[in-house]
Amino acid sequence: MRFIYRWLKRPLVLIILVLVIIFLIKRLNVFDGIFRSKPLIIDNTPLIIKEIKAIGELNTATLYKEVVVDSSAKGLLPFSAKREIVLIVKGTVTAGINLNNVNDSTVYVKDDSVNMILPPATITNVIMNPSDIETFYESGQWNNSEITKLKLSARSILIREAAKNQLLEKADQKARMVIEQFLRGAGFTKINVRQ
Amino acid sequence: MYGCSGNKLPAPADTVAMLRDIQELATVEYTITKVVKASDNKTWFKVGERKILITSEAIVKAGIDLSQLTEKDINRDGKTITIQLPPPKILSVNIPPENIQVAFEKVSLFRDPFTVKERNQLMAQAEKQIRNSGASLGIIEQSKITTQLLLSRLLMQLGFEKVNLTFDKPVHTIKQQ
Repeated sequence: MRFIYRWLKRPLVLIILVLVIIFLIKRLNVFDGIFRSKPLIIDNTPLIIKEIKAIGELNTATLYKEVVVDSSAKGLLPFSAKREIVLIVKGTVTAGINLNNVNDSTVYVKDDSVNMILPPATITNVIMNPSDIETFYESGQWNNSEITKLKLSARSILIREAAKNQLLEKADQKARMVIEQFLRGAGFTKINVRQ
Repeated sequence: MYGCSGNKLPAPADTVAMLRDIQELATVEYTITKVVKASDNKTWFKVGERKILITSEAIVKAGIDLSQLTEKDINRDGKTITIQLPPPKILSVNIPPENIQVAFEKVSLFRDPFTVKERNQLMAQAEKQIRNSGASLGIIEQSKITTQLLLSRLLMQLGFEKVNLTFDKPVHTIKQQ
């Protein structure tokens, strides 16, 4: 009887011991530092200037919006699980007018009065940089062109949102205000700015 | 929820679009290329290595913030105008998705390929490097020249014969509580 009890007791003690060790490892994070993957750091490569362009954008309105885009596709191998991805894109759409389109034919000055025709506002920037994109969920392998296609669909949504929120109209209105204010500061008293 | 495949996942709560007025005059645009290199071979318990090479192109715009400009900064004396402008700064960094290309990727037998999240994290580091070193490419100095050219042309069209522009206006920053 004592023999059986001794053999029964041993595995129980062992199990309890293992559980206590696992608990302590988890609780005290004993191997956390040892089994942690090193972060992926990019090399400090040089920046190469490809083009320098003089522009004249007076940006007067922006829209910020978070967009969720997703895609799913068949697995790369036969009978493999479906691939899925969900991205959260924080995008900024900027609109403004191109001051390079203001020329002698659109400006008329006489003494302290000025007439100016401004060009219509256009979208000047749609920014959705890597730091603005969060991979919320991904399963399976996704190649770069598939992800680019998904990000471009997010960009289309942002542009549609800008139209829905009348970003161009707001940019036009603000541009007229900024130019009027500037002309008043420059000493003009009779100001007529239109588009 | 918007998707490429037509497969619909549960729709998340629609976020509100935030509209904001700005007064930024962008006068110069730089197109910058950057090669992103990374090797994942520093974790001791992972057998084999992974290497990736991504080419990217960023569009950096610089100019002045006209919201800093007040009527006090503009002085008119007959046909001469003097404007004290705020100093130029980088206004935007844009890395369009179509300008990000994976040029090379090598993954050892016992390793997993780079995930979308990892590739994006690498590009976020590149974006930070572009943001931090953009000024060292002379974009601010170039912006002073292009701002002077643009504003001088506009002011001449308004009838001014002499235009003096300086970039020494102290910039006021609003501290958030």
